[in-house]
Amino acid sequence: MLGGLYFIKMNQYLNSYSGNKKGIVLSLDAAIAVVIVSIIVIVATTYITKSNNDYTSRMQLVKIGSDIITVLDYDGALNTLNSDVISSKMNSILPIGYNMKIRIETNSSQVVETIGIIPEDRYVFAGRKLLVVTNSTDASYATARFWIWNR
Amino acid sequence: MKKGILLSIGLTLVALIVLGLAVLIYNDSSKNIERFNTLSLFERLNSEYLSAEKSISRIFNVNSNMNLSFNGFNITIQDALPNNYTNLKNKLILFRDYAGDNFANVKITLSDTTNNFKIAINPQLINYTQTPSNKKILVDYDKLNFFGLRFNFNTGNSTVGTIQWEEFDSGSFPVSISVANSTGSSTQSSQNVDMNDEWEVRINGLPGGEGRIIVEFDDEDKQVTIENNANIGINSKTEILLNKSNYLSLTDPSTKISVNFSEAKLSKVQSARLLYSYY
Repeated sequence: MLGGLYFIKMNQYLNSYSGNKKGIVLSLDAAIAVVIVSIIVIVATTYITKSNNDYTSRMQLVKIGSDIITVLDYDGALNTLNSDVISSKMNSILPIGYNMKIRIETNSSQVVETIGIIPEDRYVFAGRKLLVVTNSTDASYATARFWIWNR
Repeated sequence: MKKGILLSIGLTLVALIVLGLAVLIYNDSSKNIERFNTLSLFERLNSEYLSAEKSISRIFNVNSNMNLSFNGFNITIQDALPNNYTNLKNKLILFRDYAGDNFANVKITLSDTTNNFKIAINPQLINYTQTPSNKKILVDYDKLNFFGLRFNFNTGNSTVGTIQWEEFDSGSFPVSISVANSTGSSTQSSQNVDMNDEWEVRINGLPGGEGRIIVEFDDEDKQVTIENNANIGINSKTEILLNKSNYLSLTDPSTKISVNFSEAKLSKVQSARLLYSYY
């Protein structure tokens, strides 16, 4: 039987001092109760652990990555094609606890990249944007790729 | 003994409830994975769409010789008369090809590669069209969704000419016309006209050709035409005083952006907005 029976029997045992047989039954009963409860707890814990993949945090990563690249685009930082300017602006608006890398490749094969190594041991959100790099008289086309991850 | 059995049953029930809750949490988590995948695809779709739209808007700003702006509910369109859109159209073709080559799920469709250019003003359903023949046309298909028009012309080094109202009936719709040149001369005239009838105003005395600009309203077609019949290029500013709405957008209806994630059955197709504002 289970734990409840164990406590009742323990009580009876302590009251009666009636010997070894009862003790063995009592011990077996307690052991079985512990095993059953443990199995249930382990199964429950497994389910809960499996579900704990924190997709809200991942969604946050997606939103932050998209927002930051949009801000950099709108305020003209990407348009400079200067990795220092882009890095500086990116780091000033990137929330604490996140890392991000940006790579821009123009149609004239110019590549601009911020410093950062994309980790392989955690979730990384990657996205890309079409970009038109303009000066006062002309426009060239580029693709801006970005990767964002938790520190 | 009875007490023991009841306690055992109670403990078993509690354990089963814990197990049930764990299964519920696990199932909810499985749905979270689906939700996350869908939401991140939405985010990608929206991000790629907006980047294409922003890119087209930038190409327009650099290559169109036009300037669009909002001032409250007034829209100002500055351009030249005549204006040449060949460069803009060529740049849009190059951008369409670049996007098609590098973004498999982004497609840009250009339905009009001629030297015309049309801007649709929404939600008022007003079309502003410029043709290569020194004409631009402001059309309101359904009804008059604007309550005033201001035209400013700059004739550069030429004379400002004289403004002459050819025909109009008095009404409540304000139309203002002003002409200036680079030497500082200017002239201005305003009338409150009846929009149930046609009206026409001319700026005479300009050099070359017929030497005039004609602004006329056709009440049947609900169409305002601005025609430069002088042999000079004129900078023109058209202000449209719009009725209030929740948002305003100026779109290029001949340029459509389509972003398609076919594997997730997600897609977005819309005309490219050149300028928009929410109120």
